[in-house]
Amino acid sequence: MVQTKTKKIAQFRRAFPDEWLLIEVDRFDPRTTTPLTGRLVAHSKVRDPLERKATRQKGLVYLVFGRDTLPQGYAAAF
Amino acid sequence: MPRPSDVFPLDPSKPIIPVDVLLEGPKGRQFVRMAIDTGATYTMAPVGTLLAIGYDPSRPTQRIEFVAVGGVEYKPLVKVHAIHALGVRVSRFEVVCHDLPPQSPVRGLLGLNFLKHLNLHLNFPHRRLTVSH
Repeated sequence: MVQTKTKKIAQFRRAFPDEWLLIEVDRFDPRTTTPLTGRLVAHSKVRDPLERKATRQKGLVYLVFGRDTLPQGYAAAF
Repeated sequence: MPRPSDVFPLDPSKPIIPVDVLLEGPKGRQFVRMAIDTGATYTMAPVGTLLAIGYDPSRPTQRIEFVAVGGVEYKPLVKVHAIHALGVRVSRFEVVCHDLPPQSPVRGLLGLNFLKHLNLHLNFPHRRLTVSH
């Protein structure tokens, strides 16, 4: 469990590109629906524990992976 | 005076088109990063998020059979208070409750039931996604 100072969400994502990040958002742009800044509550390479924590976390929660790419060798067919 | 268009970056090198989505329910709001999916009839949201904002996917008002890549699946359908994405808000919005596998970098899919509310232009050569109002 970590409780960082407020930073840009892009900074957290760059710092942990291969992990899931649980962030409490404190500012977002309603014009574009983009979360801008927040506090990093927890990070993990495994999503499930953060999913459970996100269900209990107060505030405006954002559970996001560090980067928008699939693991090597994977492709998406949604 | 009409609202000007909103322009978002579009990276053709990415395997998906990710967008941030805000879901609202009776107990709160959560952001979910989703992939734009013009092949999906419904928007798909993770079970944990729906629980957190006040819905119980084990007691849906409706279930729906949908044709997925791997076959036909039977999933709960929940009507959330509102959804916001790409600067557009839609009230009383139906989402399918389903968790994408953890290998996916997004937790949901933004489907046609949301996209049909937008004038959306995907301009890959110029690397921009434009929403006109």
